[in-house]
Amino acid sequence: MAIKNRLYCLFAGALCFLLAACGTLSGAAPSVGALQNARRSMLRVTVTSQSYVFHSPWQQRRPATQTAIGVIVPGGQVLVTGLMVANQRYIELETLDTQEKQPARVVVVDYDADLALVEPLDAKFLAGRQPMDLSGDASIGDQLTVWQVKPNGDVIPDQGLVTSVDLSLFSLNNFFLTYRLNGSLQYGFNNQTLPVVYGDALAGLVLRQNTSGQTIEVIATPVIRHFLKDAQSKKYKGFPTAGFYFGALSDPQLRRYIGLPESLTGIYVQKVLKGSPADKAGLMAGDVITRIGDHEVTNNGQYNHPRYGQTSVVHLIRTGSYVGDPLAMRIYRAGKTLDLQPVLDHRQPDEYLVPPYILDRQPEYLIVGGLVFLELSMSYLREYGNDWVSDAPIHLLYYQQNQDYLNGDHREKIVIISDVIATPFSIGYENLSNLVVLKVNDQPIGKLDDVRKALKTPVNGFHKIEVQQHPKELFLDPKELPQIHKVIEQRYGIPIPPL
Amino acid sequence: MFKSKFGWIRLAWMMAVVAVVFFPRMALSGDRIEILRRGVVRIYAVAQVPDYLVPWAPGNSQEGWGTGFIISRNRLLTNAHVVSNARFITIEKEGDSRRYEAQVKFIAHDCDLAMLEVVDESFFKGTAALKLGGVPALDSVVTVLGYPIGGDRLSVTRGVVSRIDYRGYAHSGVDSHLVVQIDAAINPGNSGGPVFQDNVVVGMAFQGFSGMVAQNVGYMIPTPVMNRFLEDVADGHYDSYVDVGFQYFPLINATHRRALGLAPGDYGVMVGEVMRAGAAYGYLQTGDVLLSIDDHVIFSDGRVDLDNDRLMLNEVVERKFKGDTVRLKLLRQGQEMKVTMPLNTPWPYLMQANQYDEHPRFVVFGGLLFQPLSNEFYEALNSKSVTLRYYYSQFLEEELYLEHPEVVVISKVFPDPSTSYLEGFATSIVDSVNDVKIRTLAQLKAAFEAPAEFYVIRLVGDPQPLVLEAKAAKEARDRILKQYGITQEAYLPGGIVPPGWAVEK
Repeated sequence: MAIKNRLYCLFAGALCFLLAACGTLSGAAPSVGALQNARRSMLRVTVTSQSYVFHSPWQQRRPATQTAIGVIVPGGQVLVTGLMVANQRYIELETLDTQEKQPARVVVVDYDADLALVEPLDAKFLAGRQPMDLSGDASIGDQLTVWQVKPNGDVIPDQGLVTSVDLSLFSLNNFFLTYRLNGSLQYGFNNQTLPVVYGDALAGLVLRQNTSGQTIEVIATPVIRHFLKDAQSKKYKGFPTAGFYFGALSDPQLRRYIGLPESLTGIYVQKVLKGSPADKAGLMAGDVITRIGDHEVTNNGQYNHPRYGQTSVVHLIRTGSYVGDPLAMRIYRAGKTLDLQPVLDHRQPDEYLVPPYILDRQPEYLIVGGLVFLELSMSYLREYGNDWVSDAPIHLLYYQQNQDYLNGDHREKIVIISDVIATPFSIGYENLSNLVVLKVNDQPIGKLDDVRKALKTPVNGFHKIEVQQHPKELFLDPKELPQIHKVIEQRYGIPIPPL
Repeated sequence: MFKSKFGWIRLAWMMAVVAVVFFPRMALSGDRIEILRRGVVRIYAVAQVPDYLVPWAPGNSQEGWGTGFIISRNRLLTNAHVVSNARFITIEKEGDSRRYEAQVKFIAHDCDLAMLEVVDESFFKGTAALKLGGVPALDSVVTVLGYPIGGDRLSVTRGVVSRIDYRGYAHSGVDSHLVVQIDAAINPGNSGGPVFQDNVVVGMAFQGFSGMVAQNVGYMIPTPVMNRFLEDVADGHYDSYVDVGFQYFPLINATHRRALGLAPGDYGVMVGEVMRAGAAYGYLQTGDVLLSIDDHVIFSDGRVDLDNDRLMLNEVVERKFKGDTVRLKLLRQGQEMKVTMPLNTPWPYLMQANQYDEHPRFVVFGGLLFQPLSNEFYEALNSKSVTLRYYYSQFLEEELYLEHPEVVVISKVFPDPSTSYLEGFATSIVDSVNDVKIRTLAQLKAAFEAPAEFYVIRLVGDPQPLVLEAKAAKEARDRILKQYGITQEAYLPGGIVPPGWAVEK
């Protein structure tokens, strides 16, 4: 389930409810007593993480330490944003009032929805603390309070008005509900996560703030509720997807071409991912989805949410449902109405041709005679800097962006030769980089492990590597590999993964 | 595949503000200069450059000047970039206050050369034709004459030959030929001017680096390139350069050499990509090892001994003409073979080449402007999607021209009630119309001329169709044309795609 382009139309709806709802200001400012309690509901979470350089995956980055203000939720766990704990090596909790410290571990993390639960190694650490319940859903016009925390543990409440309830981009293709508050956080105190409360209960966590526009985006209550509920189950399943791309049907010319009756509205199915829930249920490109669950779908992909008004169906599918839930859909196809019921599933990062992220593990690589083989990922492309969308090699960007449309090659991943480590044996090859590997020893390469397998059978005494780009063919001598690898280990200290 | 896109800063030779400074005293012997200067002229050109985003409009006017020289009665040489897109050209000679109108007789954008003729032949009274010499030696002194910025009268600068190499020609952006680098000052306005040694022309000043990039690096077109141009146009038509149409890979790597069955040593290059639209297609294969070209042994870095110098093997082909052949000796799977193949000009390069003296091609239909992807169009766009960037930059490398010889782009959605929901399709690439694959702009126009109730446009990488209702498009037609001052609904002549490529091969 993803929104590709012409997204703007999907999020336009919520704003028109702004004026109507403004009259109902609620959520009074917290009292001094409430702020004292707040100190007992929150902890400072200090996370030291360390990731790898994807262009040289044997190289670790410097350890980096970040702090967050986590919220104690019922069950003795602490809620923070998910990216906080990405690639974590050490997590420490600290009480705000007594400054006691305790190491902690990650219980559940969801990088799609940017949420994580951590817990102290010793459960007694939370004794006497006051868990915070989740509030009811906030609406436009409600006053929420962002809790900023001074280094000495004092809580500074900062109020903001909910100006819109809308889907926001979290990470690649992940759109979830956020509250947008007016205001800015003058005292962030460098905390990556800040709790947002509604009355005395937790309403959300700050996702990001836009200082120039004076807005604060908050991960909305329904998203957190979904996460916490899922986290209580034995195995965390994640936010579900249906596995199709859709576009707006606002254009009357397109509607007339499809032959959609005037009385019906819906969204146009652009692409159904092979093997996805939608595919298994029989959804096809060109179908029009007119109803999802009990809701009619508008021509720009929204439904009428009882509280937020016009809201993207993405929210209905991804946050309104759980993995394993059947999702009732009414389809208009060639003059007929059909009812389909895909059973929703979660799409893991590994299931992408170009994974959206690789976190919490060292990126895999192979070094074969100085050639560095790895699987293309977004993490690799992002290393081309802030302007990676312009600066990364265009062929790799194109594959990433069109990965669900590259049909017919049955690859699981795109294997590239990212670089060549210079040795006396690599003279003449040293300037090669970002070559897409097609075959090794005449065997097609669909994932990194295929390279390993193919290397077992040299062709005419040589390893023959075929790449999509110029120079098309490279050769290595199997007999020389141990010697080359020894040189690399000795001169560069780079570990050679076993072949 | 020898041509390459290169990224260094191009000097705007012709656009300059004339500062008032004193003319430096000439350090050269007066007598010699007195004779040579009679062959040097100043060229003024009024050019009109089309705006590719308003392709029906005539274009913006620009004025500029450069230098030229007389090679025989009523034949002048200058740079193509001095007279590109020119609508009106005048020339001036020293000691004559009149301005004479000139015309372009031949223009070669791929090697930045043009031949002019003067309408009134009385211009040549008192002038002297200059002789073309050979390639000057390294470290030998050369003298540059021309009309660079800094004054109105003829300027003379002097330097030595710093380097002889095979380099990109900025004018077309995709061609590389022999160049001679000199350290004499060359500045905007010198373009097209002669470079002398021993009273003969040994080059034509044409490009350099901006002063912010490098100092005293100027380039001249050497006489082999000029002679080739003169020979090419001798039949009354310029046919352009020919190419072998493949990429080669230096065989420096010892293992690579052994895998291909080569002995250690400094010879042979491997054939990499063989271009489907190139001359080598059907003659060479990826993995072939080239040993010699027209009896010149090929070294492992792709150079050959030629004219007492070690030059890129391209230089052998550089001197040939359309219809000529080249002889190659090669190793294929250990077997020595000889191949003689005819040369051609691979057209897909031209998509990325700067275009001059061309009217932008386009089709307006249903409130949409369709244009083929070209360098000028691409540069004119403000925002470029990843897909568009991919089609532009990988057109040759990933052979995208096989499916779309002309990449037809929706360049503009004219706001109108009939296009209210179509804005999101701007800069998309057309794949098909009513299930007919669109390979050229002409096919797109034909598809819209075929009667239909709906025109369903499928776009590359975007599975949502753009649907134009024939009725709605017809109703909106006059309104949109009037609203946006569109004086012409299509311009199709020209284009780079040879006739055989319009249908799938």
